[in-house]
Amino acid sequence: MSTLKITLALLAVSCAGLTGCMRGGVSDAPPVHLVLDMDFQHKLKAQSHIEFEGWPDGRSSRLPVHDPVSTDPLGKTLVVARGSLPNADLSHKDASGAFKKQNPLPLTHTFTVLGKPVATIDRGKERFDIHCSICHGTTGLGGNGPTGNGLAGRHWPVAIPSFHFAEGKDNRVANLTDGELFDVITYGKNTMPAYGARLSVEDRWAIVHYVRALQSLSK
Amino acid sequence: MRRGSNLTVLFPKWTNKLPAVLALGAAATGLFVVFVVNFWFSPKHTDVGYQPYQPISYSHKLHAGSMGMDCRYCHRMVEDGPHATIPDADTCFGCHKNIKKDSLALAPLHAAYGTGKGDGTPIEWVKVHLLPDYAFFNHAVHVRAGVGCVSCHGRVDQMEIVRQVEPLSMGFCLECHRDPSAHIRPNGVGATDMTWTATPDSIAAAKKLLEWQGDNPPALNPPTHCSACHR
Repeated sequence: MSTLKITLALLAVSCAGLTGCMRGGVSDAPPVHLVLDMDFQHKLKAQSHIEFEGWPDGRSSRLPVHDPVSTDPLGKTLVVARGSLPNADLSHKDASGAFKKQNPLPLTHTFTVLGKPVATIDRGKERFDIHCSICHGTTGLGGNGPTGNGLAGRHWPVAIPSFHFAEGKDNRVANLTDGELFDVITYGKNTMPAYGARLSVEDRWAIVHYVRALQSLSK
Repeated sequence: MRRGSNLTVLFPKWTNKLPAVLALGAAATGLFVVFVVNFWFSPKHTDVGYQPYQPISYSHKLHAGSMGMDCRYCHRMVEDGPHATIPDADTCFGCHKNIKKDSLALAPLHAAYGTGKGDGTPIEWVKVHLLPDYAFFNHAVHVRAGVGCVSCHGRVDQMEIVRQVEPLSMGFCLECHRDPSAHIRPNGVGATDMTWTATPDSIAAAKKLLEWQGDNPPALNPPTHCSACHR
């Protein structure tokens, strides 16, 4: 019986050893599916590849439709993606084509985010911190080098002006109208990328509100 | 004693123990097989640790960790739709047209961006967290309920290459759906805060919310019936 005991002991030790090092180990091989059931179904899945002769680019998530009659300065651009479906009330330009001076989204507007009511200024702060603070800093002071407020400016030579008022400066950026700010967010400017495709129209106006709130600290 | 009979030739004395040894061996083998299947056929082994190489050696540790970018800068549909969405080339290129623009590692990005009008070859990112196609999952409702990214994805902000850390199996889902209180963040704590951990207060608040039936705040009612996920 001693051989049986030794065998069992060896088995136990090897099991313990294997459990210690093998389960959940890092591997670049795709997960093994022991029972295939219907794990992989032939259907359109978001952002995946699809073999279909009608769509030679193989994208399962289709690109937005180009607007053939767009008056967008970027040309026949992706009107749906830019979130700029015609809504005269929330347009950043008035009927004559001039930038609006006044934010058309009232500060009292309430966003419904994930089923909960969110004040416009809170929504603006949240979106600002997600999308803008990486360059402008959470303060909006921007800047470069070790004193830069945003991380991009602190580490890379990217020109990031402050949008705060400062003594003895021309305050060009600080004095932009609401409509112009919206335009810069939507289409980008110089090194700043366009955020029109990433932020809804309402979100962009909420950010404009929040920028004004930040500026009131330096006024 | 009938020494030399046919039977003692065929079955020497040691064979008396044979049935017992065989039975023990069979039981041990059976137990071993059960153990092997239970342990190594589990998604905790087959799925956890999946860390595919990506076409661009994108580092979450750098972008989300050291730089502190919010997850939603790139995965921006996570609050609005079922998928957290991989960013389009335009999102990457927005910064990388200025920063590290000549890096060789970004060649697939330049190919994907093309002229910026959707004419490039998409970057074929490898999906890491794979649910079976018969399981329904919606990111937005989980974020809405106060479940953070870290509950299912682990500390992505510390990963050079993204790795699956949770089994994402039915057992894993049900465990949380039966008692999610340790994963429900209170109002004001963002879903993307990677360092948040449950406190006795947050657990008590979540348990209270689980018994709540009203509309405001929305009731927390994680379903455990079959058609919640298999619909």
